[in-house]
Order: sequence, then structure tokens, then C-alpha cells
Amino acid sequence: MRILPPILLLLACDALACTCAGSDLKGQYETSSNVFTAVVTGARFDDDGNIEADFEVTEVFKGNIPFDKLRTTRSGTTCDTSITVGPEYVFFMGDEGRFGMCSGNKIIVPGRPTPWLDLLRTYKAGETPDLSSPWKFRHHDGSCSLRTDFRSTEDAVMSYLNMEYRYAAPASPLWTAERLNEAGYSSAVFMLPTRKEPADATLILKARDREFVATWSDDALPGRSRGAFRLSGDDVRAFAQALLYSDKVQVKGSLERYPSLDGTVIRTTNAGSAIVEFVDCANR
Amino acid sequence: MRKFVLSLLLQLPVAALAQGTTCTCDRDELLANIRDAETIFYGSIQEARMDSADSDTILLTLKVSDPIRGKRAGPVEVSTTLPHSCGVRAMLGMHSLYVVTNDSEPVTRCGGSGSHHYRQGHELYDLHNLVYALITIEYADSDPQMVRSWLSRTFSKNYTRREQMESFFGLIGELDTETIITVTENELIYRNLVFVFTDDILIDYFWKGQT
Repeated sequence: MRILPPILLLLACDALACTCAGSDLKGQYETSSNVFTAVVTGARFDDDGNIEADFEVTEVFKGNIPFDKLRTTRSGTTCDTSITVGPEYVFFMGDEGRFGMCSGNKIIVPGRPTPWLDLLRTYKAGETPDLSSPWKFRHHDGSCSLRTDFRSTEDAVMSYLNMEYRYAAPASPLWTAERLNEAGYSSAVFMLPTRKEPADATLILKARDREFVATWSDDALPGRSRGAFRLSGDDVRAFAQALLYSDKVQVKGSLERYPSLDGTVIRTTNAGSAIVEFVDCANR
Repeated sequence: MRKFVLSLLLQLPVAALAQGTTCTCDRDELLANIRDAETIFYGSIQEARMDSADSDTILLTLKVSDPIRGKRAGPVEVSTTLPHSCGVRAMLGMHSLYVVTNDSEPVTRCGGSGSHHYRQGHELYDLHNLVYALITIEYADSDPQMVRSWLSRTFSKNYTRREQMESFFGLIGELDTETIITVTENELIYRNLVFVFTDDILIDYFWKGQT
């Protein structure tokens, strides 16, 4: 019997909920021997309740796809999954063609953004150094910002870091809180899928042997019913400076609603010139 | 006593959202299709395959878990279209409502098929109880236990608000145009089914003549 691909071995299931040992796109790619897009053209249950599916490959990113059927094996837990006939998927698979709830496969919905597919394509074309999330720099109405997405180590929920430096008052003030419109305002917001944490909750961010402490703030984004962890003031510039010389940020923190965040790594390897541009902007 | 009045909101066109694809349906046509359908059931997909002759068509083999109208047993074979053409999502094992007009017509979300109970857009909100409404209509007289079992999944005593029940029976009134639904200060009555309210909260429901 062949062993399951590594990513499936990371499953941690119980009777109540399926918890996937999550991974970002880079991790999924590295632990899968076959990465490809395909249209699922047919699927059926066998007598044991397992699913067998037919597929037509549309694009290959990795591997030679040494199987002609996709298969699930029922575990009787909430980690059992299904498949939909008709749409195109991005598949991350081992050499058995088996998939599960935690395989990381994604449906491509026509008309919807597919950042992970775009990243796979740019990586395949040699336009990006790796598959970690890209960093984006932009100017808008008197401020500059730097943003990247990241995932925690144990689940697949996407979070993001958004840094902002306001070098001039905006022509069209957006925020009701005046301080957010003042030149010199800066922030680094870590937006996580948690709406409530204790007032004294903190995140420790380690970059280039320096630690920064982001504090929980309920009003990080006015008008939104959720809080975020944030750095502010001089820490923002110092944090951005540290990013220039570090290939990753390690996140430490023990959160009530989002414990899996502890140990998350935010990579800077796919930043291009974005961090440099933000540091230049914040030092103007 | 006042005659039940349907909300004007129920007359608006609906947009069925599923799997990220918008499918704009005419609500009146959807309900008319359900009224006229030969076969309606709640079931799950056992096999699905794209039609080799038409890449926009998916052939489904369905297991009937709860017959509602018409065919009562055995696997049912129907066709649907891809989601962007308002077809039913062909996810293996997924339970959905199936409204079959006739064997040669594909089942579609605009025909009433699909998983309406997944609330995916406010336009659909009043249809998210469609399967419960159909079960209530078809079994109110013959199998109160079945209706009770289904309704208990979505309406709770001491929790459900009167306006929710009135919305639900507004939908029933559109599907069952021959039965008069009466609403009193404390009760909503449909055939022998009586819902009792206190302070606009559902506190009980029962069948007249049954304990």
C-alpha cells in the first residue's frame, strides 16, 4: 500500500470539526507531488461510499499526474469531503490522486479573482522567486501603503498585514477619526479572523532579531465591527526597516479566538521592491 | 380576524446566488414552475457526469430521500446545466430540492431546484424555506409527524418570531393558492395546522384534533 501524501498526513480530525494542518500556497506546493488545474467531468460513489471522479487536465504546474481517477476515502469524520462536477479546480495531490477536506484544492469560479492561480502562473513563468504571498505597495490620496496576505500554521483562514503612512492630509477625508487623516499618521494593522480579544492581548512580531509588540485595538478600522492588532508611531517605520533585512516575520501570540496564529511565518521573499518603496515613502 | 396579505417584497425578481455565479431568476416563473411540476423531491446526487454531447449539460443520478410530489422511490435521472447557466450545483452527496417539470427538461435553480436553504443573498431570503413550505403543503393533511419533524429544523418554540412565520406562510400561500391562511391576533391557521403566538413569538404549534 502506498502512503498518503504528506499534506494528508497532517490531517487532525475529530468527531465534531475537521481541523486541517493548514499551509500557505508555498507549503501546499512543496508538499504536493502534483499541482494542476482540471475540469471534473464525472463523479460517483462506490459501494463503500468513497468518491471516484474523472477529470481533464487543463494546466500542469508540477508533476506528471500518474493517476487517471481522483479518489476520496471516507473516514466517517467531518474531514470527509465531496467534489463538484463541472467546474475547474486547482488540485494539490500526491501520486495516488487522493483528495480530502484538507488537500487545499480550490474551485476556479469564472469571474472571481484567483490570486493563488495567478501566483502559480507567475511562478511557473519565472516571474516571481517563490510562491509566498506577494507584497503590494501603493500610493493613494496622501498616503502610501504596503500589504500582504498570510495564513496561520494550523488553518487556512487568510489574514493580512496592511501598513500605512500618511504623508499629507487626504483631499477627501475618509475616516471619521481625525487622527487618521493627519499627516504623519502611521499604522501597521494585522487583520485576523478574530473580532474580540482581551484588551491586553498582544502579538509579538520578530523580524531581523528585533521584536515588535502589536496591541489589540477595537477601533483599528473605524466603521467595522472587528478589531485588529496594530503597531503605531515610530514602531511602524522601525518594523518596515526591519523587513528590509529579513526574509520573514515570525508571529508569536496566544490569542483566545485564534490560537493557531502562534508560530505563523509571514514571508518577505516575494516582496520585490514593495518594502523598499514603503520605507522610502515613510521616511520622506 | 384578518385575511393574510402577501408582502409586496415577495413579488420582486430574485437573484439566485450559488457557487459564486449570479443567476437572475423571475420569482413568479419559479413559483409557477413549482406549482406545475410533476415531480418534486428532496434528494442527493449519487452520480454526475458531463454530457459528452453538450459540455454545458450535466447528467445527474439522484437518490430520493424525501418524496414531496410524484415519483416516490428509486433513483431518478435528470439533467442540469452548469452553474453559470442557472444549473444546480453538481456536488456529489449534496442534498437539494429537485423540481422536475418533465423528464426532458433540465432542472435549474430558476425552476426551483437547488439548495435554497443556504442563504446566499438577501434576494433569496424568502425562498430559503422553500423545501419546508413544500413539505408542509404536501403533507399537512396526510403526515403531520413528517411536517412537524421538518418544521422543527427551522422554527423553534419560544424563539421564532411571528413575522418569520408570516413570511413562511406568505410563501406557502403563493404555492398553495387554493387554501386560505387565516391569521388572528394569537394564531396562524393553515388547514389543520395551528401556530400560536404570544408577544409575537411562536410558543406552540399543533394539529387541530390531535394532541
